[in-house]
Amino acid sequence: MIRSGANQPSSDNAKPRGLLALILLVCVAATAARPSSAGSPIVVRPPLRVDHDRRPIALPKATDVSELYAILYNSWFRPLNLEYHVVSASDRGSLNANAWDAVPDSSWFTNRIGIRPMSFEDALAGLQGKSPEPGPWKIVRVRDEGYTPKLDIRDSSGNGYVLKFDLPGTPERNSAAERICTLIMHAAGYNVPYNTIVYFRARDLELDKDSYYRDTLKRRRPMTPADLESLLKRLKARPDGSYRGMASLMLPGKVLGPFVYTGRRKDDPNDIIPHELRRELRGMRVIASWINHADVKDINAMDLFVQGDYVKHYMLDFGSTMGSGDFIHGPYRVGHEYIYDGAATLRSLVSLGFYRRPWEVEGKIVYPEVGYYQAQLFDPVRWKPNYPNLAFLRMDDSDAYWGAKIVTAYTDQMVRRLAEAGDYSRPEVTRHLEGAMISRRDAIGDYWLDRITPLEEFTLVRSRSGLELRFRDLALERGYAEAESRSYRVQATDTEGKELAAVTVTRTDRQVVGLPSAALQKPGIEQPDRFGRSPSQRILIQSNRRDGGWALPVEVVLGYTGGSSSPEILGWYHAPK
Amino acid sequence: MRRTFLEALLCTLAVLTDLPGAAAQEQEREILVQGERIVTEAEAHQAEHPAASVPLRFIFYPFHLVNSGMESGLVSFEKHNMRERLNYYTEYLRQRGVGVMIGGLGEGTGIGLGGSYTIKTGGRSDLRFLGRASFLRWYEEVDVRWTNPVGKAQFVLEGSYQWRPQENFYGFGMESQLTDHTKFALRQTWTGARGEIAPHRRLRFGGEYKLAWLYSTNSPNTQYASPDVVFAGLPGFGQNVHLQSLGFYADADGLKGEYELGGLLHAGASLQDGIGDSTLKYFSYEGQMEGRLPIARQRSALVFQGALEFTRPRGGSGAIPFYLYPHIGGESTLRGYNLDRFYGQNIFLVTLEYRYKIHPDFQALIFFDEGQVFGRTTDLSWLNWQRNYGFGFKVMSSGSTVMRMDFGWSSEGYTYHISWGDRVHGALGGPIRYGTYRR
Repeated sequence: MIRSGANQPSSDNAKPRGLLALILLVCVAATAARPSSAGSPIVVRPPLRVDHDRRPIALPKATDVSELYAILYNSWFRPLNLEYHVVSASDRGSLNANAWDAVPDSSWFTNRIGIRPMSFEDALAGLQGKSPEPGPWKIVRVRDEGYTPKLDIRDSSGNGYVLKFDLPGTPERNSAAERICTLIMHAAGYNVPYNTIVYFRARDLELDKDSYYRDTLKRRRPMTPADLESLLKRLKARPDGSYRGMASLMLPGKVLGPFVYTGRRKDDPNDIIPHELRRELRGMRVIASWINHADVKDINAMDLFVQGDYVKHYMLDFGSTMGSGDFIHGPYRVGHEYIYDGAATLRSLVSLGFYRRPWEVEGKIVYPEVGYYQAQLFDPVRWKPNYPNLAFLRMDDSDAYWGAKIVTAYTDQMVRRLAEAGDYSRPEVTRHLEGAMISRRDAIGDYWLDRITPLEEFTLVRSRSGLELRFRDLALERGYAEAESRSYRVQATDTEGKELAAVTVTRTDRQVVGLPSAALQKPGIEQPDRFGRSPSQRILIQSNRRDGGWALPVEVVLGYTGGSSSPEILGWYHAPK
Repeated sequence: MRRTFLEALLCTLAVLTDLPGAAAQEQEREILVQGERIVTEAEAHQAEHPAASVPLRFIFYPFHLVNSGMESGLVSFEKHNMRERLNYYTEYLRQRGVGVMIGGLGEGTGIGLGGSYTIKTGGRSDLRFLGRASFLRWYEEVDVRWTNPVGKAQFVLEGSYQWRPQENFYGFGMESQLTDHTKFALRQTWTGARGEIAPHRRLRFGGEYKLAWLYSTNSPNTQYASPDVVFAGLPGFGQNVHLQSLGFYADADGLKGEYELGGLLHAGASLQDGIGDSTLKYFSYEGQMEGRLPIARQRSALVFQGALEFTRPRGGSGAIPFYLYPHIGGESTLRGYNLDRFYGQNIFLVTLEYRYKIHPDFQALIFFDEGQVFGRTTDLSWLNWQRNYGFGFKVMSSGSTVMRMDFGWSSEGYTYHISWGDRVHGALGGPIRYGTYRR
């Protein structure tokens, strides 16, 4: 379990203080003192590839969230709440992992690159939507908010888009980051809007007959040509006089407001899993660390009531990813520290100001088009969003492995194409970004696929030498482990945790281990669960680590279904608790 | 959901022989469980609210209540763009010469409100009216000022009325007792002219002339004795004092940044002269300096501050009213002592402070203050200091101080101060105890 490991992600969970800590220890004693994996009853997760959470429901109420509250509560108040610490200590892992330790498809997530190889073209083709048609774009509305204005436009085919712009001082930065990370998040499996980079000239923009301007006080008035002119003056034109922007296709459905990373939407009967217990949100911390998506927050999420009468959950606004999020105490803080980081502040306080953050010394921006996005100081374990996110804080090793599995599935070729999708004017910028993305991806693979036994797709095979367990070793396949020294440690136990055979160590790069025959003698089997499965044995497999130790195990559960007399694989789980 | 014998057989065969049918079987199994949720509502609820947390849920109910109230308030605040509205209307009012102030009238005056109205009077000159009052302690101030900048110089005409009902007095000298804590009220009205020239952005010279009408009386706070009860024959108490003052001062400000090498100097002298029946006549001299030495680059600095104030009555002068003597104690001088704890003819004050950044918005500091009041220069003792030490925190914004909290320990116990803005030891400001709020 991540919270008890030596190399663990920094987390508020690990910082109970003073008297609170004492009370907490007493309160959690019952829940925290759980048996070791080998002695705990076998629980096999449901064999579902799809979580059916798209049943028709009545229209839920639209909600609002406060970013200020989220910062204040998550940074300052939540750690004071003892109940939070007790609930965290009782966390038994993500609720929606299935029998194969994956996330089922749902209204939140659709498995893509995590379960099958994907090319850049696949990712591009899968993204629902299309770029605005060339020709005059009708301006429907101007939203004078944020650092640059946003335009709601309609293209000649009647599709609506939100048109966003780069900051004048950092051309190409935010639009490229948004485009690239939209594709990454889509390929990962999240629901995202269709975001694309567009180029236009001033003459391409026309005022709609009903166009209006809404100022910061939300006052509405008809938009005039002078408004448009003044707006364009705030943008930096390209040398050829055109402008670059990011067009985001309006999402279909009725907007219900953001979803939050904790709790549930009470008026959505499909939303039964607390969000902080959803693997796709917990494990997203690893994906976010790769693309430096520190701006993960409630208001960058969106619930929509879509056709079919259910709520679909979207991730929005990737314009502050990579090195683009430099607005609060930035840019070098981003990804290294929370905006209000208790641990770092305490270090400064205790060291009388002599503690110097590495990024204060070594942080540098190579290309303004990319911003502060680098690999030298990137630590996949200690990476932090702008403020604590409860789902991220609850991430355990299983979730992290899931996230790392997705991140390392992006091949070098795919990463190259993604960097090119940023459409930077200077080729060296594209190469720099590509290099940083590959290095960060590899840092994630090197850490998480080494820490947790990265085996997948187990099959039970009878061979001449007996039964064998075949699998895919992602570390071997993706270059994060050496084939010559690859070893596996195998332990077989019954449902009570009693060893069925001596522990074996196999040195092989064939991605297969033999199972001792004693391990497969039919023991007394458990009562079948609601899916008709009766677990009988568990096989714990550990791969070797670079430091000479053994990785956290993957537990493969064998058992019987229906009236079968031969064991089969019921499922597996990485880093079981 | 149970499977048929045939399905089970197929599955077993597929697994044992590694037939391609294994995937098909998995798919089939899915069909069997189609419509199922990955977790039941009861399981989800149990995971969200584990049994061990139930008692704490009750204990922390008030926390949840406050929390949800805060959430609703902030959601509403943001939904209605309140921050933007506030900025908009502040700017709207500012452009029309109206200012709104929140805060007290100096240390120990409580929280207050105020407003100002500025009229452009041609060129760069303006006329400002200011009024403010603090709640609970009921300090009041009305101020009118006309400022006329000309090139590098500026000419100021100003007048002020202040009612300060709860000022502290403990007696004169270092031996004054904490138990002799008395309170008095001060009414001060003054008017004057000031001219300043700044030949360089870091250098300023000025001169001022003031006429003042001062009156001290019993404090409305009856919890404390009146000074005349504890200290019989206290000069100036219960009397009207009318005087005029002429003074000159010079400021050199070489401060660059919070953690950068720099310093400042201030020197001033003034003559106070009673008018009407008063025979009061004395000189005041003052000097202040500050030096900052960076320790950790851009993160910490050692700060030294020193201040001197001398009062020199001329021959034949009447007794100087007690409240016009220099005084130390409190947040801007000796932080381990109560406000205005020591009064004396002369004061000498030294502060050593180590300031360091703990966060872009927060600064911590450790300080040591010492000071003494004395009658004659020969009484200045290098041993007999009032000392205190302590620590504090500052909330910073864009390089300036928003709020401070200081905790000081001295031989008289500990005290804490919460205050707004930077710590500034006010200059004498002529014959008046407080100018337009500078402390």
